[in-house]
Amino acid sequence: MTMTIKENVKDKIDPRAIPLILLLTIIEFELFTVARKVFLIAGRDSWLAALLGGIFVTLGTYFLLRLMNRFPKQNFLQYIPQIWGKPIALIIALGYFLFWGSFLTLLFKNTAEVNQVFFLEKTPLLIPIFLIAIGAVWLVTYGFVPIIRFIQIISPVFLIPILLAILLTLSEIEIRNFFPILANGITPVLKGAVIYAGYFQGLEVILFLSPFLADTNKAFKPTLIGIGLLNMLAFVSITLVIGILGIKNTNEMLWPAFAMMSIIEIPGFPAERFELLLTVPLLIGVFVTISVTLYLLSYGIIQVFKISHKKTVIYVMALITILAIMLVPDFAWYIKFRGIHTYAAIIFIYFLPISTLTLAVLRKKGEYL
Amino acid sequence: MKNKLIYFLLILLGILITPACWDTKDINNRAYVSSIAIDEAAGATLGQENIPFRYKVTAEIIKPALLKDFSWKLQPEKSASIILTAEGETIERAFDVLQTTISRPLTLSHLQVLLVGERMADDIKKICSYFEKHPEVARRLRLIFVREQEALAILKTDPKLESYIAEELVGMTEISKNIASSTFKPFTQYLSEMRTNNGQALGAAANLFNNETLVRTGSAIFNDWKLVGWLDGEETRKASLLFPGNLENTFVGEYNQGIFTYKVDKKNSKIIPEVQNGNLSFKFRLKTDGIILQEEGNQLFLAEPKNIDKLEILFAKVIAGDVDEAIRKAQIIYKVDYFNFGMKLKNKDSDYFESLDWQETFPTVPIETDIEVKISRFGIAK
Repeated sequence: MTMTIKENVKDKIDPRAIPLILLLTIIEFELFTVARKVFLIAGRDSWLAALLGGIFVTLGTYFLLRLMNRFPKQNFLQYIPQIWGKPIALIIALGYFLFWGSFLTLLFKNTAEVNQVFFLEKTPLLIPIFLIAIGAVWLVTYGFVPIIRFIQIISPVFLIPILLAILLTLSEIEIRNFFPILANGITPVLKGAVIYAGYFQGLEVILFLSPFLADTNKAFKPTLIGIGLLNMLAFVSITLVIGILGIKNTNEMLWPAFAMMSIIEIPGFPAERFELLLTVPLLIGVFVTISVTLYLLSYGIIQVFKISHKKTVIYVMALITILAIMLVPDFAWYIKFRGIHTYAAIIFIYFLPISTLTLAVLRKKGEYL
Repeated sequence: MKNKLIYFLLILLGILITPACWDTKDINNRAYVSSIAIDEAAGATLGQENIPFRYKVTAEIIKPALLKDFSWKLQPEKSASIILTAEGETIERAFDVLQTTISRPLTLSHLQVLLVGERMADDIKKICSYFEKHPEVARRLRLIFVREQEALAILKTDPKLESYIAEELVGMTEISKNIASSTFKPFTQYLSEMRTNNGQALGAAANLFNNETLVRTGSAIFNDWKLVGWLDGEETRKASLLFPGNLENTFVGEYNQGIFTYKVDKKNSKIIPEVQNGNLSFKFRLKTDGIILQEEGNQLFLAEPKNIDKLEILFAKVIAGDVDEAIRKAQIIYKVDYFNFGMKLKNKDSDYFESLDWQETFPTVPIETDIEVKISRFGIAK
């Protein structure tokens, strides 16, 4: 059965799966290998920025849930015309398509670069990307529920190596790397916290979950638990990176988490390269993030423009976003674009949904009036 | 169903075959570099006289076949590795030349030790840049500076207990974590300290005693990313008192015509910055605990608490002398804050620290020491 984004599907998902959905959807290279820009801005106080940013993210999530709860049988793109009016809603929808499309391209670009740097040096950039995309397209054509089932099945392979990596690195922390605290005042921490919140791209998936939930009220607790877990994971990653590498080394690294893992050593242990522990979760994280974003983009277009050839749209969107990586000339430009995209994320993840909620309350739209 | 199966098989085939077309990485067909020595090049080689060669790169490459065959260990002159040297304008160019002398692709994914000769130590920033950027190199790499000799001389020595010299050096650095007379600092920690302290830090050192015996002792002193001097094993032992961690340290003291050896196996140290009336000073507090291991000449009855008290006072003085000597070396002789006094001040009062020219201030700051010695054991004989 092919399911579309707007159907009030019969195959409901268990709200308890939401933490996993969020975890695997939001984590990808940038956040998991640790948000580089947060380090640049907040320095050795990045762990404080993560704590504070975590509060912003949780608050944002709460408002997203409130919005979802007002329209329990519809998704975001379905109800925005009622709130904003059709012309503005169309512009907002187009903005989201651009946001998701560019995010997909940046994801493909980063995946391609990481793949080339660490694994397949001589393989043409597009080959592994096409392979990942074929898998993602296949999954997406079956709709959102199979993506969630995939997330549920694959999550142990994702979580166990991450927990193992954390356990292995804990003993390497040097407390002195965290001092002095707040040497540059609170402003960099506040800026870092905002940027940190911007790295939670994929959080907007909450707004598209309602058609798949039997009771949206039951989604609050697991969603907030999921966000709490994600924040904790990001906080631990940031703390580990600073504690082990030191802020000066961290700011020199493109992928600090990989550098951190390459410090681990267990004398006498047959394996040497523990970076492999991150490789599998990263690939899974990226695959899921690509799948979910491709789903949101394709099914959003299908829904807004009422297109009947669903598979064609998915294939075309995947192809366009892959080929668009050619527009990113090199990795330096990728870093620049990703920085801009993080600021855009703050608008699309928090500002627009919260504005929509405010307007819905003011205009008395949706349920729970 | 048939279409799905074909689709699945095509994906599987693609995943299995396509990347391998370009990136076959069979471990049997690679040359694994276990250690690298960087020295200053003597001049142009290989007929390229016009290029100003700067780096002489020596690589120790493991011979997997010899690792499997233990009979070679019966012949002491052999190692399970080969040593190759090449020169280049940059490290990568030297590797390009090295690659032309060997039948398998050179791989740095199992690089364990990086040795830097004394004459190249001033270029450490450039050298580190290469190894930090290289995607194959793991950060657990051990960085060792070679005193007085070329670094390649270390690679050419025969391993004593291990199969190849990198393994020997790794073993030596592992045990030196607890040995006070040598500095152990992995690549990342060294870089972190250098970056945080404006190029000031101690680096791990090694040398060849009598040009033949490999010794991992002493430390290399860096200031502004340049090598400014060395601490020998004894100086490093004294300096280690000011470093955190439980480095084992041994002291000898004389009391009433008797000579006593005190081995410290536990220590707790603290550097406390104090600013009073705009005057900066530091207090260094050290608490030690250990065992009396040897007595010569007039012996003391150690089961008597009064005698232990006397020895504790004696060793407090001995240790205070060593600490003062270590501080004097840093403040007066080298004028380099490798004990991180500045960082302690920065942690406590970063605004005050920023207002100082630490390079100028450090040599003149009064440092008071407070040593407390405990002798909790005296072996299994009185």
